[in-house]
Amino acid sequence: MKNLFKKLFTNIQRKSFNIENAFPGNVVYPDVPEYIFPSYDDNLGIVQTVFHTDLSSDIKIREFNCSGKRAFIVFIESMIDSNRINTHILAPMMLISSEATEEIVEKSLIVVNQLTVSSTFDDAFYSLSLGDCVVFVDGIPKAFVCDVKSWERRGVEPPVSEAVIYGPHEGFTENFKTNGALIRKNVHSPDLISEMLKIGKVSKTPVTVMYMKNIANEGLVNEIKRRLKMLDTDYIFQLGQLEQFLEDKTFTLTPQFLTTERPDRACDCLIEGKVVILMHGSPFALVCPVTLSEFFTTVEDKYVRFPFSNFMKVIRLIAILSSFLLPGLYIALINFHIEMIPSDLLFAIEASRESVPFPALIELLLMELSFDIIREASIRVPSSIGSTLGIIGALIIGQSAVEASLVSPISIIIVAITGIGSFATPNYELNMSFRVLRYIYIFAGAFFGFGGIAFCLFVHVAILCASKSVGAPLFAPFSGFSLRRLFEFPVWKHEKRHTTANPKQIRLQNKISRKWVKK
Amino acid sequence: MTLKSKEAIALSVNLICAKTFLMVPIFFKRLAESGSLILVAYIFTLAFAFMFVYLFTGKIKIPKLLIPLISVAVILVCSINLFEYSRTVSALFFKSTPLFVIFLFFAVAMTVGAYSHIGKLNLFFVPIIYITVFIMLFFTFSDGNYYYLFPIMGKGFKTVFGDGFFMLSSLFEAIILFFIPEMLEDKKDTKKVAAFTLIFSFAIYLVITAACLITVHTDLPENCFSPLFLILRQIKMGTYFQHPDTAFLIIYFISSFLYLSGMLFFLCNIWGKMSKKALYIPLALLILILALNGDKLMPLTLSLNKVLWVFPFILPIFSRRSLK
Repeated sequence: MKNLFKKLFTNIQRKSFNIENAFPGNVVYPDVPEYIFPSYDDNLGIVQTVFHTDLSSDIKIREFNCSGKRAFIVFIESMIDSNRINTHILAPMMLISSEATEEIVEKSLIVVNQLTVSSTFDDAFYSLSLGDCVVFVDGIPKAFVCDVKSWERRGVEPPVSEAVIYGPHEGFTENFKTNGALIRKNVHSPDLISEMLKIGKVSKTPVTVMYMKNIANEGLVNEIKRRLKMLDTDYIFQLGQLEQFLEDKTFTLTPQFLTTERPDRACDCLIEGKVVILMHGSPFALVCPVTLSEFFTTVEDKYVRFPFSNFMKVIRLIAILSSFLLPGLYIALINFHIEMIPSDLLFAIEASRESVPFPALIELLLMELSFDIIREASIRVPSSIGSTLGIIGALIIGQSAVEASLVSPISIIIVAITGIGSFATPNYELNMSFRVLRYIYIFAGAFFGFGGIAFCLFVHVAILCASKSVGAPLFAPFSGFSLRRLFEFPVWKHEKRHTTANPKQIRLQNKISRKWVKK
Repeated sequence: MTLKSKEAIALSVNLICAKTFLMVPIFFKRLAESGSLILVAYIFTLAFAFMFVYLFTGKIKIPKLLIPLISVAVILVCSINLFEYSRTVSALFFKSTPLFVIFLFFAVAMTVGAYSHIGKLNLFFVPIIYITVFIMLFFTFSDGNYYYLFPIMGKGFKTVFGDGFFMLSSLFEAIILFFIPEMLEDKKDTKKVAAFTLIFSFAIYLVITAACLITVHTDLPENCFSPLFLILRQIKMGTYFQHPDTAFLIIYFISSFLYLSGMLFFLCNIWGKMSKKALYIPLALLILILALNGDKLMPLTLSLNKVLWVFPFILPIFSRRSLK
């Protein structure tokens, strides 16, 4: 593993260039001077020009006098707390009579807990776009950036895609600071580092890179930061986009990052030495590096007792395998290897298919496509008529299609099992990849039987073996084979961390973690 | 090129076991009678080989002079195997599919397998293959006649040992074992490789040999490509899966893919780190073209087989000299 990282990072360093020179000058506002002027009129003019105040109705500029000097504040109406501006910024500045120097304004007049003095327009405007209020005073070549944000935000709610019965019911929100707090409140460690970066030359979306300084591999952390810093794009809004930018292989169907909306899972990953990325506006966290087996596990596997979690894992694995292999195997059996099917079942299948005018491939494709259409529609259908869609799906597609001799009942059973199996896949992105792969296996089974399926399976596994998640092998349990990766062991036996992320500390807990047990 | 010990173990196990499994058809078609002795000879040869390897104080370097010779031999063996596997699959399952399509199947899989991490591929597939084969063969024992386990009595010295050693040359892949330690980071792992390989190959070979002997016996039909296939046809699993032999196809395919990938990987690997990746596709194409003319290559391979069995004994001596 160490060699792998060493090799990876040496290669990358060879290709790298000076990050400091990657974004020269003021990129977002090319016509605006870099530094703030002392002159009130110049600054006001620039603010009005850049933010198009004659057109934008929500950009507010309030001009006033502060100790005999002209001053103005600028803010975005819908993103601030107006009471705080009135009582903590405007009131003291307008009412208290003293000399308005930079130091007095910063330390005596503006009464907010987070105040930044900025000397460049770029920084000031960036803060403004995030909901801060910016104060300009005549004669002072600085902008006072006051934190008065008050956005409409969603509260902490139960996660939608990773619901559990036996575990916490709080999920990430769109506010990355809230998300950071949700993680920090669980990991009570001063070694938890939360570094903020800005992604996107224009959007400058805040991104937080979180890791445990005493556990996470420095090479891994530096590599993530390097990739983030070297992103050369104007706008980036969601973690889904960021994931596509960061991944090693674009054309692999399997995801190379784990997305989670559970703070407890993110914490688990952090203490394993992985890196968690949070982004403003995304109710998810990106985790890297990951292995394929982690996509099959849920956070609940760690909360329930290990026999149950292993049982659930086996069931889940069967469901996942059937979600992409079953239709292909069925069609291979029907078309090529009918001698494998027991005679009675074979007669039953043939009898049910007797009135169907299509070949088995078309029949199965019809059903699979219908199922995918229903699934796609069900995401966008309003919840009030969701049950109607279920009735349409069950009655029309199921019963009517059989009665109309469009499909046979056995293919409905196959598609239903496949569909249920795909819902058992814990990770949404992996589920998507299996949806695509299923069609490949169907065609391979239909044209080449078991031979085609064997070929696709071999190539599929070979691609997985060659895939990496930020330098770590995606198929890791089979390179450094360890049963602990595949199955859960009693919680007191979790003595070592997984080596996927090549952590600094391998030992997770003492060998005798239950001190009352004698050796 | 260095591989972790577990990956190297997987590679060696694959090359021995996959080949053993794949070779069963030809092996037993020609020499079902002396199968038991061949088993003994095979195991002893491996043990002998590993004794050599274990005695070495450092990593084994392939003598540069031998690299072209080994390459030519591996290319030929790989081409013939590709030809034989494709023909077997075509005769057993894809009777109407053009042979060229099946050749392409194997060639593409071989290239993809070699290009990906062959060690990880082995670790994933080898247990699946051999657990499946064990399960399949386990059921065959119920239909066998144990009297057939001793067919070598009174066959004569030449039949048993002469043919036995001749057949050992088909296990040319054993040579590769000598180079596995080169891929290990620590020489201590050599012992592990040896132990794993011996245990695995012994177990697999014993079960397959026993299953073949007690069920198929010696009266194999002339056009029989795979006695293992015939064995599996005899399995009775109640009213379910009346002919599980088709499941053999998946295992057979994946074993051949693994074996061919392993050979290609080894072939490219001995030419050094720099040219390794660039060699995959050209060499795969060369093997494919040669395999397409497999009928013409057969006489050459038969004469090559008469010499190749000497390699496991000679190569360590050359290798040892190269270390000095």
